Amino acid sequence: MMDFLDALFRGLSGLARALHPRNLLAIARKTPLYGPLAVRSVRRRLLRNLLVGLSLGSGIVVFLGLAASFGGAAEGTAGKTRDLSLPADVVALGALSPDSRPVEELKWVAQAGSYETFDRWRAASSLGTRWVVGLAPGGRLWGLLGLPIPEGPGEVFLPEGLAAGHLRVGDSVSLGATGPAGFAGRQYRVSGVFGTASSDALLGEAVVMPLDELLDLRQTLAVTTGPEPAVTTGPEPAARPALAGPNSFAVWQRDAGDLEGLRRRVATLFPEATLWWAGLPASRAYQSVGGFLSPGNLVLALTFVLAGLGVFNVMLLSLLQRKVQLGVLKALGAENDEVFLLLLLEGSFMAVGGTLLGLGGGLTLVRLLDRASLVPLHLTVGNLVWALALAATSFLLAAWLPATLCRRASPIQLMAGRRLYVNPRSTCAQCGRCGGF
Amino acid sequence: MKPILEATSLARRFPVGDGVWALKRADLGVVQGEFVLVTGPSGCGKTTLLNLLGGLDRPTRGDILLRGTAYSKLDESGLARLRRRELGFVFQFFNLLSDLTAEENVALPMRMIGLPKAEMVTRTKELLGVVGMSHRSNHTPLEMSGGEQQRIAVARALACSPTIVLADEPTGNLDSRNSEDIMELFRRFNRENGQTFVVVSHDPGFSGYADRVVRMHDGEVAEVEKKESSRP
Repeated sequence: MMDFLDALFRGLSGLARALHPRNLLAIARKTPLYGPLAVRSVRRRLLRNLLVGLSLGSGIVVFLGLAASFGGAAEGTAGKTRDLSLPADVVALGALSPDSRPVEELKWVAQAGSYETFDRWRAASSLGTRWVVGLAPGGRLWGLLGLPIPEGPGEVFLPEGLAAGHLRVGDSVSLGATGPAGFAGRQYRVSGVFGTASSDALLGEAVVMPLDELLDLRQTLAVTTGPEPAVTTGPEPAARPALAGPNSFAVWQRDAGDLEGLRRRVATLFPEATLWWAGLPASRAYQSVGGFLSPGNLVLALTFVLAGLGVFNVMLLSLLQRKVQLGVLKALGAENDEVFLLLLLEGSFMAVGGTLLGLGGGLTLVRLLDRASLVPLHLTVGNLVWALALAATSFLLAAWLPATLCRRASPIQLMAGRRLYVNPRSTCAQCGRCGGF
Repeated sequence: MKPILEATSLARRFPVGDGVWALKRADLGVVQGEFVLVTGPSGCGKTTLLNLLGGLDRPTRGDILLRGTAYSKLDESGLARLRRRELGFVFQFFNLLSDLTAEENVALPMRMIGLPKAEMVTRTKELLGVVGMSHRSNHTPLEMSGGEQQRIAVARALACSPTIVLADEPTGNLDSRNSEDIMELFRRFNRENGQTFVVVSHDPGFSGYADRVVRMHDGEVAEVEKKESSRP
């Protein structure tokens, strides 16, 4: 064990030394000699080298496919979206059924001063397409969600900017609503116009805030009303009250949103309600799927470990088959670092080929799966960068050990086809229990 | 005449089991232009001695001087550079690089020392002509017979005009006709160009080619026979 650790330490420090700019420059100078040799060697063993490239390439394909699936799943789980536009920093609450899709179907209500927003609509008017919020004065979350949200025609409050003098209270307006069945227009009567001049800070913000601001689904807030006022501001009550009807709300916030503050506000609004955060916080759910150290990402890293093992096996096989030739090269005067360079160059050609193959295959796979699957796939530039970085690292480590074994071996050791040991010290060979390579 | 290669009290022990002394003690000096044949029964340490002389292995005891440079003072890179510039090798199993053609195999040592391309091409053609292999210049080793491969190996060993050519059983894998041809080739280079050779062979029948025959037994130099008459 100590031998192995010692060898590992020596190997890594050797790798660090080899990556010194001075060494890299020296190696680059020798490339004209060993580059063609490496190219020749790769061409002569095309099938075997193709296998190495395929190992690495398939690692990248699997990585990209899984990363895209996890990315889509993460967004699906956490509802992280960029196309839900809300007019206030908070307070977007809505009833969720188990199979609801928050982005498209959320019937949300938001506290906005003395109003409650009961719906959002996309309005097609001469001013262009705008988001419109429907406000219900004093509605108190529309009867605590016990009542159905009224179908149109009904009343709407329009932002001042949208009205812009063309619409007045009492006018009819055609509003387009995006629902599960598609886009539908409905007639509403304008009940009011709100604008920046409003003394209500939230209302003011609702108008001036860019409506495409990114909001995250942070948590689900469970609400029930009891016979006695019972506002719970702590964690989930030990004896959870029986729930009836729509009783939970998706809570959407900007990144800096304060969940506890929001709950306090809702609790103030409903002094008779019992409130608790239901289920896993969405932010944590997102982390568990899309976070850096999520199980998904560990599985992704594992794909590269497997791909790296594939590359390692073939590289090692290549070395073992060519011990004599590499020994002859050393006998003729090739320095240890030059033989190391030769093997790394050979490997690099395979790595570049495999990476290109993997990227092409991965992107194609993701596109095909995205078309075929109901679950959306989401691939980011970060995924591609990670794939490249992991491919380079796994390849370097996989190619490095065989190349190092060969660099350390004496010409005689190689020419005689003797076993190579991780630790070059003779005691390691004397022991020989591991069998060497 | 002062030797260009001088080995003093060379010994080599391999760490196998309790340790095996493949070479117990060898003192040897080789002068410029000499043809030395090292002979002896299997396991007497001939190849070990040659490997040490060629800087392919490190002695357990003793040291070697080549033109005044002590091997013990050189690190691995230094030894590699020394092999590249001062030594030529011919092996029993030819050991040509199978990925390269005959021409490329001969040119490889010259590329390693950075010879200009024009000079390299001329020299390669010249050497292939001398060993009678011009017609095989574009063939790979797998397309050649053993005798042909060994001729290419000889040309490769001579490519950089080394101080000494070390040949380890160069005829060990050849029939008698090809063996004679290779030894003739060595002798021709030795006599016409003054090339120094140290040839290891278990066959004492080749002693007629040598200026000096070193007989080894049980890891030690048992006898040195000088053969002045063989020189032209």
